[in-house]
Amino acid sequence: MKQRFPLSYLLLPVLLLALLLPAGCGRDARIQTVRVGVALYQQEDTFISTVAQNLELLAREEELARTIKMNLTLADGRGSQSTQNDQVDRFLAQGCDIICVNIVDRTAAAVIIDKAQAADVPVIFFNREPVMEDLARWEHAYYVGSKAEQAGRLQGGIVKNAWQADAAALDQNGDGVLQYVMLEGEPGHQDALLRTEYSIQTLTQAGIPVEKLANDTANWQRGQASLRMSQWLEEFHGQIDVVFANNDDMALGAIDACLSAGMDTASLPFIVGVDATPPALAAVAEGTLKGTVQNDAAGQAEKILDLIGAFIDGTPVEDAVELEDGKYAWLPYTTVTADNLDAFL
Amino acid sequence: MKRKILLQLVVPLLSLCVLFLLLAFDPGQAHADEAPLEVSILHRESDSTLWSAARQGMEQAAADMGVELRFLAPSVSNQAEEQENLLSREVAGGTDAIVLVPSDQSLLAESVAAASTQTVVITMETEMADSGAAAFVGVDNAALGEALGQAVLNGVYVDGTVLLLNSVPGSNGISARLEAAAQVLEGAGRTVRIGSPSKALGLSEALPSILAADPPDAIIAFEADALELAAAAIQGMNPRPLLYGMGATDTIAAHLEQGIITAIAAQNEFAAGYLAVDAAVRAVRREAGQDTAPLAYTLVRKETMYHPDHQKLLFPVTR
Repeated sequence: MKQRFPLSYLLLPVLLLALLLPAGCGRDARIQTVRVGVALYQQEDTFISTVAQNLELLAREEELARTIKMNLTLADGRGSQSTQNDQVDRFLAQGCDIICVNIVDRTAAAVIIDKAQAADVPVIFFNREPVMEDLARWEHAYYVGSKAEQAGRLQGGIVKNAWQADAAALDQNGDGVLQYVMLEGEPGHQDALLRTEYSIQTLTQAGIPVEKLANDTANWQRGQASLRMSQWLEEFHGQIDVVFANNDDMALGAIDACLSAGMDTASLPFIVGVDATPPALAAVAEGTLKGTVQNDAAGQAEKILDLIGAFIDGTPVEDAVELEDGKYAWLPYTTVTADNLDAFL
Repeated sequence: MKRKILLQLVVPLLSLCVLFLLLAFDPGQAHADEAPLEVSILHRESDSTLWSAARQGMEQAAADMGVELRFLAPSVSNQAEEQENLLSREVAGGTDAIVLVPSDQSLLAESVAAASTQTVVITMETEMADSGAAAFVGVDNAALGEALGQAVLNGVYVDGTVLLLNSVPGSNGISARLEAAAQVLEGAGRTVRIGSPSKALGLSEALPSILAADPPDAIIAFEADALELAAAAIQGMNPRPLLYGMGATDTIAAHLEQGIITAIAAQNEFAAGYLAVDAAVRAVRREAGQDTAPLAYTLVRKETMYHPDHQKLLFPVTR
């Protein structure tokens, strides 16, 4: 007689399946999480914090569009490259899929690129440009930013146009010479050097007689700029026609100093900055800041997200973002004055 | 027969061994254990620069505890509806905990209650334990309002007018501070006016006309954004009303130094952020110590702002 297969033999395998299946299903249903480490050179820098805020906003939109999670971990380097290097180490140890670096010391990118390459984690530098040789070390190292000399030219152009339209309005002492002071970013910083050089070159190439009364670094910071300007107001009382500031934070510091010295809006020197941060746009609206040059924070964040999207999809980055030399995603600057302010508010 | 008995014993025993091995070394469970805890931060304020010190405290806590933070700022400040949507979205996304700074506890009560059944909710600035929030990190709002009211009494004579800025309309910690200050002032014979944003005009647009129509003797702003706006609005006024408020941003510190702001109530924002993430992590891990005592605050004037203890409140992050 043929033996029937005992059903009891099937009980335990079925029991096994019943116990294990739900556990497996739960994990399979977790949404894919993309981890992005973002290392900032200094979070209190107004422009940098604007880029970071835009990154977070766009990341949330990207989550909805792709039905993924994108967890951004921000770290403030506080102006220290060694601190930033430790932060990058932490990102890689935590399993970040991509790292974005706003490098403190633009000559020190090689260390970060080598670590990223060893971990096979793409690295996107932004706003502070590493030296070209370092970026060339690895194919998956990129830069998103704007060309500093263009910012200088546009800033100089604001002053040039105002002087050519009505020199008397700017010329405090009426000697026909544009006397200026220059508030500079951190010493040796490429953007500071180029903005300084090209803003004045724009004036001299237009044949405007200029005289530098003073220049000094204020390290991109509003407070430091205010102190410098206060000293200059005492030293050059009534002689300063124009204040050039390599960024808006320092331009606003110069305004702070002038207002504290009892000046009203009409008696301020002609003050110009770079970045078009929200507080700077408010100052342009108030008339205390005569112009600025938009450093496209939202645009930079967008390009960074586009690159990240290409990495997620596994598609060539050149298809997602226009790159120069396969590395550089450039964004243009734009002049902002009272005439076109509405477009930026 | 013997073979049959052997099979009936061996097969079940072997199956039990396999089951044991799979449950003990489940690769899926191991992977899940490696993923860090995720804490979502839902602030009512769209401009994160206004709470940057608290955010840095949160980030420090996250670094210390190996936690991932997700910052979700609303597109418009103080909108309960948008906060509701973000709450639901984060719960659906499986976040381990939410730190919420609610714009309106009444409007968000249901959402917080529902979220609390699925994840840990910690609130800052406004207590929502009645809606199931696991812990609250913040000052005693009523006591703070009373302290600001008392501070103003010194500078405003009886029958003088004090403008209270209702910058976050709705039921929340800010309104609790306002109500407490109003009680102190009215009880001491001062006239209280409330300045609020309208649907058409935000506070920044409405404030100049409010001040021009009937200049007060003093103004109290109960949170950082309103205090910054008020300081900017009164800079050109002569005579300038006394200005008191809550908050400790760089801009507020600068206005305090210049004498535009008379006195502020300052708390350690960095510590508040740190403790909020700490409370969230403890709640998720079911550890003791989720409840925090009300955070301390101090009244700081221009004359005392460079006292070492006050410097820690005004400039919590050194560079």
